[in-house]
Amino acid sequence: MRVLVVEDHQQYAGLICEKLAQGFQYDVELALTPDDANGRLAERSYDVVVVDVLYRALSESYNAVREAARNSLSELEPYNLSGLATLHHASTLERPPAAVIWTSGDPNRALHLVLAHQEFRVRSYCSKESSVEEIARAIEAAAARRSHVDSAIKAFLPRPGLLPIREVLFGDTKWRAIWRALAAGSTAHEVTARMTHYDQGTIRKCMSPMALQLATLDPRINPRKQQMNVLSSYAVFHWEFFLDQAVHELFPHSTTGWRA
Amino acid sequence: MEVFDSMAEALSPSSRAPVPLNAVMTRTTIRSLVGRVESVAFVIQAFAIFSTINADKLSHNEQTFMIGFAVLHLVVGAVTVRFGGPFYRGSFWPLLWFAPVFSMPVMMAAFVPPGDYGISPVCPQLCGYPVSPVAIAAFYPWIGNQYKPISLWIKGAIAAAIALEPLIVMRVVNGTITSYNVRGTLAQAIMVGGMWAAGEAIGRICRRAAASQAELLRKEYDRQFGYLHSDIETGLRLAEMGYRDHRPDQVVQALKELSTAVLEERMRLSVAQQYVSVAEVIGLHIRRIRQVVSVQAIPRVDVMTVAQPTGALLSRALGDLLKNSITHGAASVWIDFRVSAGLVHLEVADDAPPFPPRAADDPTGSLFKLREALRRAGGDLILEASTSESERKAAQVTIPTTPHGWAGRG
Repeated sequence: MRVLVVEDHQQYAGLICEKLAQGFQYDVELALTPDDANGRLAERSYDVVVVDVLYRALSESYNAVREAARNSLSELEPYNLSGLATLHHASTLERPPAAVIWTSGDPNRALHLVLAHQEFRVRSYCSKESSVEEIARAIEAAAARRSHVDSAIKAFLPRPGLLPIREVLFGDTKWRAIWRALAAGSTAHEVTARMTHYDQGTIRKCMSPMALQLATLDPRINPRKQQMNVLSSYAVFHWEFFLDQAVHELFPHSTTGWRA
Repeated sequence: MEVFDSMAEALSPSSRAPVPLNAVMTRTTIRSLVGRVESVAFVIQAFAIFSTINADKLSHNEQTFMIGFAVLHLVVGAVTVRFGGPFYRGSFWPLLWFAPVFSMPVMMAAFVPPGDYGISPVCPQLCGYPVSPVAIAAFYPWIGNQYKPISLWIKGAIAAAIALEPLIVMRVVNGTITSYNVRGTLAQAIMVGGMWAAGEAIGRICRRAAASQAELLRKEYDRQFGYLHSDIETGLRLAEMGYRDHRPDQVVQALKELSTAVLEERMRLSVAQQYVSVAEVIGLHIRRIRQVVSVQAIPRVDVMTVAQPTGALLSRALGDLLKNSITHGAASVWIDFRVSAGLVHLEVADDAPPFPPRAADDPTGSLFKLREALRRAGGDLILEASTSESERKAAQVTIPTTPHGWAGRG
């Protein structure tokens, strides 16, 4: 079985790859970034791809770009690369490999996991503390298109009946641009309008439906109070998701706003 | 050995810059507070000018000039909203703002008919113009740290100069000082002095608030430092020594303790946020117990969060109930979670022997303490009665989504 492991911690991932190759006779390759992984996926075919969600060096350098952007969403491009970029690229291949998500259970990855489950139909998950045997079980399950979820990750998967994120967060093209402006740090209608090229009235009108939809995702949220504050703090906490390259490709916003 | 060294280096406080806990933090906080307040100050100045145009005897050209001047203030106020005001921007901008403040008495003395400047005992013409910039100057810490001991004197001297300048202008322009001039100037001095005192007082409140925040952060840094030193570095050194001495058992034990210390810290931090991820809380508790008990059911809660006090109680309840299950010999546990009607419901079931009668009524027991804490917050703990040894028994916890005594909303 040909396996591609995408993980940025070279020393740890190298050791895991070595053990997977020795102990389970897999043909294992390691890619340190989603870009590297996408290149390899384009060159040869794999049975399973094991993907980490966030890449610290990439996120840290992108965060500087995010904090500097204040005038237009175009300043945020190209967006941050995460494991979703590999899943997205793999899904476009003629013979897409099965996928395993290999992640730590941190809340800033929660939206990535829900999207991977809903959009890319990933059903195999293992945690960063998993043993090599556990990772191998996840790989085997993914290859056989069976479900395998590490007990430490299971709580992060979408609850039964949860509406698709594509509807809840990105149902309207205007919302997509607004979410990105908020994730970039905008806390005012005026700045959001400037960044998205929508007028302030449009931004104000979007606040209420966006907050109502968000409350279906997280019932803790009160959609009737301080909508701008609620939405901006949510977007900033999940900026790695809202400013993700794959999320942008799946749910593009209008680049010209109301001037279109 | 490189592994131990790189781990220790990565965990050292110097590897990532922490938030500075000094005057810089205080200034940054106040700078963010002053933001749009400066634009309001410009609007107040514009209103003062409009009021003078309405009340004082000015020629058509002078009125036109003053209208333009007032509009300029409104425009600057609007620009300030977007780009920040003079004190926010620093450099020469505050001087540019104060130049017209000092020029205004001279200008008004030139505009009004000879002998009219300061004629009213209420206050001199355009006496309201300097009050808002004076308040901002008193509030904002624009004086460098090296002059901090005399900053009060510097600010006070500027306020005094602004307050008394009209009297000097009256003396020069009118050639004499009347009792009306003195009373009017005194009225302006009271107004300027009052605004200066208000700005200074608000500034002090803000500085004290920022300093309290810094103190809290400093305590947290101390705790983090203690954690890194006593738990992490010691654990790493133990593992290193075990490796050097060819004692694999010691290495394994040290690494296990390290893992536990990291997990405990993560659990502590997971409930320190304003909003707590339910999935993270459940995931961390499962990581802690899954080596000793089989977790048969785990709720999927994706991105659901709860308010911090609810999250802290949820984590405590889950930890206590899972510990209780393990202590009583459970081989399997089932966890359920849901939110409805303003309440968080947590259920932990296990296959251990049934709860003894009145298990939660023993004041020395953890279940009693947990139930008391839950009741204080407006929730409860109910231990399901079970008659059969083989039957699953469950403990049900309810916590309000907004616990009693919590002010946070949203």
